[in-house]
Amino acid sequence: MSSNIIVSQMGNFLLYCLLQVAVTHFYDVPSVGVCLIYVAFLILLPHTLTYLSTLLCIAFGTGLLADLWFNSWGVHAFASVLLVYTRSIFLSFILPNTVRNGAVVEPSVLNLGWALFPFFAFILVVVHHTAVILLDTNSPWLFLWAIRKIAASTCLTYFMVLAIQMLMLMQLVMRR
Amino acid sequence: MRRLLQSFYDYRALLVFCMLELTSLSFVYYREQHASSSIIVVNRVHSFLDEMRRYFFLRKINAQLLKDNARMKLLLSEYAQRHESYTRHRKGNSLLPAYVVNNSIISTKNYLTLDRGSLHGVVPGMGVMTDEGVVGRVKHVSKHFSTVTSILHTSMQISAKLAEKQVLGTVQWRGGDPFKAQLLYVPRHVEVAVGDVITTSGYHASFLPDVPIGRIHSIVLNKEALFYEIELVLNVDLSKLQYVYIVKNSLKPEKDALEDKTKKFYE
Repeated sequence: MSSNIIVSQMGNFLLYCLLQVAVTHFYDVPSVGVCLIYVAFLILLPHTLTYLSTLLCIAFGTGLLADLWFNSWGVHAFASVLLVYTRSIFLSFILPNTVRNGAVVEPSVLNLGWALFPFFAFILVVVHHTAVILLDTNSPWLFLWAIRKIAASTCLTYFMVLAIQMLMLMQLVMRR
Repeated sequence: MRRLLQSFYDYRALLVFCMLELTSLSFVYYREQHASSSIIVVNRVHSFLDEMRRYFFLRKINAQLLKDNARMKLLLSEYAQRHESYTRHRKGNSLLPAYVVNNSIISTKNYLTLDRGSLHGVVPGMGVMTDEGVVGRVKHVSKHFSTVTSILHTSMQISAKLAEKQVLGTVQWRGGDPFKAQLLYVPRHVEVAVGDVITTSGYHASFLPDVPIGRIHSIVLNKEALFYEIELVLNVDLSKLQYVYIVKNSLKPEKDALEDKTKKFYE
């Protein structure tokens, strides 16, 4: 991976951390659902099969940081690692062979298109939020409550992720 | 041997995946056993952000303070009228105001973090309340912070009574809706009605007596049950907590020690 990508990803990471802090502190409706916008960082990480274990470790680190923030040891780490692994399986199905072998791809709207990206992001957000909320609730008779919360949280995060993608595209168009 | 190593290398991503997931799960189960939010770095970050946020809410806090102040004055005048009972109830009690620096209501085991710690005389076991009602009980204390087991914690029980009939019960939250809890052990011969006020009993030295907890929302009495199944709406909205009062009872250690002594004597 070139140093260019690493630097830009570190920038992204800081940006999403700040965004997450802002979201949880200024927009707070915990009884309905939580907006876990840091997930966008994991979804948009450049994908490469050769460095998959590194990506998993990055996801683990990010998850631990989120756990520190939400005071929930291990829950977010588990979900984040699960997300990145699911993502790699998903991408290996939808990307053409030429890209699959070792090349670095950022799975954004630009590369996947408006048809595929919303579906791709939705699946990953659902996987992540289901893991987080079920692990956190951890009680079978609260299942319905958990389902409601998963739905609400998924909506919140999903639309934030799409909004960020829109902003990025708009920025690109403006530059041209 | 070489082929074995080679196959390990080929499946390294899967191995790393399994390893990381197992580590995370072990963290999750470790947390279940050692629940506390007293990691100093996180508390510092939270208290910094909270200070920032509080700045934006100054007007709201001010309004709340004015309202509370007015209520206090009213109460003071009422108490002055029944001075005798005032001194009897409040003997040895004092209230310590504290800001909430971290709060959660989303899990089934919820904790709060307050910006008062052992330096300010906070000790585990002290009750925490607002003007509206009961919030929880202090669990762990560090120098500058303390964590509170919220009333929204599935293993938290509070000794309560029906204010009008003076009948004892226990308030416990069973998870789910953060605005509703259960009142347990009210025997079936007592007449209960929706809307009845539930307050602390004062039998546990953590809380002052007659602090409101909530109002009865629904009542179910099964045919052969010994006790009612009562659901109550909590008075305090825990999602909007800004500041609370820690109840310091200087007579609590004495009372607890005496009760322990009696218990031990008969065991």
